[in-house]
Amino acid sequence: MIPRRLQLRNFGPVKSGDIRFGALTVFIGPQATGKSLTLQLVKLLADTGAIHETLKRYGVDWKTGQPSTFINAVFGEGTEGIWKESTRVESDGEQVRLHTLAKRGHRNSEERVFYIPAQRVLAINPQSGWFRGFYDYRPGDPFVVRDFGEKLRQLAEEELLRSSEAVFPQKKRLKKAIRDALLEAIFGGFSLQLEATMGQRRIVLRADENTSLPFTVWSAGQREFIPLLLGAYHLLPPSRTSRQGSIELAIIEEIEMGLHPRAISAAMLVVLDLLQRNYQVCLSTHSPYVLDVTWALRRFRETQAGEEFVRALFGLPSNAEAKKLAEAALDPNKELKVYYFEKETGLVRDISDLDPASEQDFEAGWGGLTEFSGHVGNLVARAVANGKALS
Amino acid sequence: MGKPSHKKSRFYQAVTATPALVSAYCPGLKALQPADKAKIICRNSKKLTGSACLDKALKQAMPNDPRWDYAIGYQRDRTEEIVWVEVHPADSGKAIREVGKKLDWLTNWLAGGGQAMNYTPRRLVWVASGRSSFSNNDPKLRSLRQRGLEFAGGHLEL
Repeated sequence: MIPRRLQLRNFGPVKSGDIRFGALTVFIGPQATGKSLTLQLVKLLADTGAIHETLKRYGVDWKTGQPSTFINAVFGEGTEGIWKESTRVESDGEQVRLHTLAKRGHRNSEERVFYIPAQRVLAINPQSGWFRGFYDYRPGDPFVVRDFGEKLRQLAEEELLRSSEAVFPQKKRLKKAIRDALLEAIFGGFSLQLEATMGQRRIVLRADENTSLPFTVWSAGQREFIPLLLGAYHLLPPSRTSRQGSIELAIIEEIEMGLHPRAISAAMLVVLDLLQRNYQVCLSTHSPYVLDVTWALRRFRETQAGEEFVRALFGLPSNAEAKKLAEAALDPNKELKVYYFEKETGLVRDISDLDPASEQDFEAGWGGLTEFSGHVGNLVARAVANGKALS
Repeated sequence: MGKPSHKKSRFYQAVTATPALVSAYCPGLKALQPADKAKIICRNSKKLTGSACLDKALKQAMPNDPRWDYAIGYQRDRTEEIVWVEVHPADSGKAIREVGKKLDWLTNWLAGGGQAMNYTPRRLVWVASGRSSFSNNDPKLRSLRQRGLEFAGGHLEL
């Protein structure tokens, strides 16, 4: 089961947190405050059986009598200290014990969470230009990183290679407005193709039939975004089915990596598409632009603004498909939640209201994401106010 | 007996030397409306050297002008600064224009009738009176900041 509420005490760097997930939940906070560990924990709680099965399939072992070895197998080498004697994890009010998670014999191997990790760039091997499978990672790499690479490899070999169409843009994948936005903001007019050179398959960008750009010459943003896009392909099947199998929750870490704000806005359209298809979505971010979108959607809902405001926010056209996408983003039943992982205290704070005039500095400054910019602006103002003349 | 300490302050001298504000001086934050006072956080009230409500004092003389709200005197370290505070809604683009006009008004007034109060160090601060429609990094706020105005959000800590 995907937790609707997760209560944590002394889990990794998190001293205390009470997280109630919405349709869209955003985690923010400085590095090493436990955002990623918490998201990986959600995956572990929801997909215990599936994780056991995958680890077993690829020969990853752990000692059930020593649950810390299971932590290493899931969260990665050296992470055994995140679950201590004093750690308490409650999922929907029920205490979760580590030895129960580590114990073999979980029957339900259906996967409910699809995880796009921050290290997604590792999913493509720069030497070969092809996808890394589970075995191609170091044994100590986090499960979600290895699993993501394997899923992309399967997607490429079992689905994308069978089609003669470009990988992107592809008519049956993604809504036209989203394809157009991505094409302009991230792909710069290039198409994404699979090809074989001297017997080696590889994924390339193409300007025309004669010019292929291999992975190593892609821009940083393209390298980060293309694995994310392919992850979205996994979640957004080309058929009439709106969702992928048993998956209910999509976790995307640092959606903004390497992207210009305009491209972040295009990437956020993928999130809107996921929400429209009734996926639950969890993001972690260091980008104020992601919070700008979340804030705007909250305020649009409160003021009962029309779907045209959402279209204006993303520069979407005025057609039925785009209007439906925008309307779904305003659905009051799809709760938007934002949590701030505070470094100094180890607390996870609910700042969902994102009120810049909040009495709480951590909410007003959006967990530090706008605080710096505001601080810079106010210092400039102070310098101007004390200059020779006011203008 | 010497003068009470607040009467020695630069702020007191400046307010009482301004013809339109002769009787506007108040000790501490007493010139502020209670709701506005609640938005100012001052951990050490001894550092306050007084306050004046321009809006009230100038209402009769300039009824239709976009008058500024308050001036507050504050002793920061060894320097006494003047903090110009405007408590105003921050709920729309219209508010940016309104506060911009108030800033124009204050600039002109300091160059004219309020010359005695035209000293530094100073701060010009907009405190939101309700919920804010602007994030702290809103580019619209940048244009006001470039003109010397700080945006403090819902409260100002002196």
